[in-house]
Amino acid sequence: MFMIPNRWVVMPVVALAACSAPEFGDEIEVFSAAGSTALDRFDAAAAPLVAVEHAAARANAIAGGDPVFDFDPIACGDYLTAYTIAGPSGCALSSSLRIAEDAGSAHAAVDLTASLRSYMRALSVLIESGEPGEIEAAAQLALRNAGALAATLDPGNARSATFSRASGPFGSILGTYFEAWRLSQVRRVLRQTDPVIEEATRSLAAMIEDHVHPEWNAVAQRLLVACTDVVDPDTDDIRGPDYAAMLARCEAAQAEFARLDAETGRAAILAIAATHRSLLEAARARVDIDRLLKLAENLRALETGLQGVDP
Amino acid sequence: MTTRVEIRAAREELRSLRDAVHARSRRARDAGRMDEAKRLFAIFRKFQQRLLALWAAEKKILTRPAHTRSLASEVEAGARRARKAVQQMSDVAQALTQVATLLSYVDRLVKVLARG
Repeated sequence: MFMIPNRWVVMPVVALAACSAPEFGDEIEVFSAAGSTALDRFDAAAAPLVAVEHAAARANAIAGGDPVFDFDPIACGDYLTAYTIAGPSGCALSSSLRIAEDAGSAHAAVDLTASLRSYMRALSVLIESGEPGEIEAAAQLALRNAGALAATLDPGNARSATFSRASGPFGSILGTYFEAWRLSQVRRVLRQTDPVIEEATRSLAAMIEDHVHPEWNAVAQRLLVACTDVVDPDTDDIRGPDYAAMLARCEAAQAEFARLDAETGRAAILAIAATHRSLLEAARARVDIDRLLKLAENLRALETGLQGVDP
Repeated sequence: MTTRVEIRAAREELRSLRDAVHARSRRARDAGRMDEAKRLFAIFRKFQQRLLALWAAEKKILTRPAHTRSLASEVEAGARRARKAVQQMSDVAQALTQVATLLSYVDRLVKVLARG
């Protein structure tokens, strides 16, 4: 005879179901989409540098008589003579250039943006995977079948009927449990990856400042000097046109900085780390009251069902 | 990793000192002690420049290709963790569906046996 011990269902569910993931999915989707856009902009801005690095490596290889690309004569021979189904992809020229490992390699930075995109995609899949509805349906079906089985084996036992009564709330609880578990998985991934996301975005920002848009450093320095001058206590002694000119310098430097920060995509890249951190904090703190109330309701219904007493 | 931790600690320490000096300069200025305010503000400027110099040094480390690639592989590890969690969730969903299916078959079997 099947028995459903109340405790094994109730205890872990109460512990975990204070959090759930559904609306959190929107936030992760937005993070992933906006982050990818920022990274696309970085790649587009870095493309000329990538081309320069590639051209330099090619020129070096040619000058030194080194290989520039690999060529598979077998795959290409088959393709050309149409003996096999090998398509153009089987006859590709794969680069064997050695890109110089100088500081500020755009190739390495573009590899990093690819990894960040891959991480964001995986995070999106994690929040969307495993429909709680499917879990609920599977659990409900399992319990209904268990009830039918129990009734067949022992038709006289009134307790067998409680399985089908309990199947609805039990399924919901399992769905909620699943969502809570999913949120805990998301939280773990966010927590473990957060420090490296911060450093990765700092690396891309550094790449923008020093290599992709090297004018950034001079603009930032102008902003710092011009606007610090304004708040320097020495400024209290300055009056009239000189003071007006000082204010104008600060305003102009600030506007120039804000424009460049947005245009270069640096602000957006740094926002990826800030958003990731806030997602982590949200995942830590999220308590879904509606789900909790629903859970309590389902637990009551489950207990009532298991006692064989109509609510 | 050590470099990362050390740089972060140095940055936080410099920021904290800079902010403290700035706050004291403000207080001295508000209290009308202008000489002290100016002297502290000059120190504040030095801290600002030190912070910039630290960032310039950090940028050299951050943009080294070997470092960038190591970061890329750490980010990939994060993606792998996320994909593994997806697989685990998929396994849970499949297990539940299998239990339901199995019970359904057992139910049918028992009914057939009962008839026989």
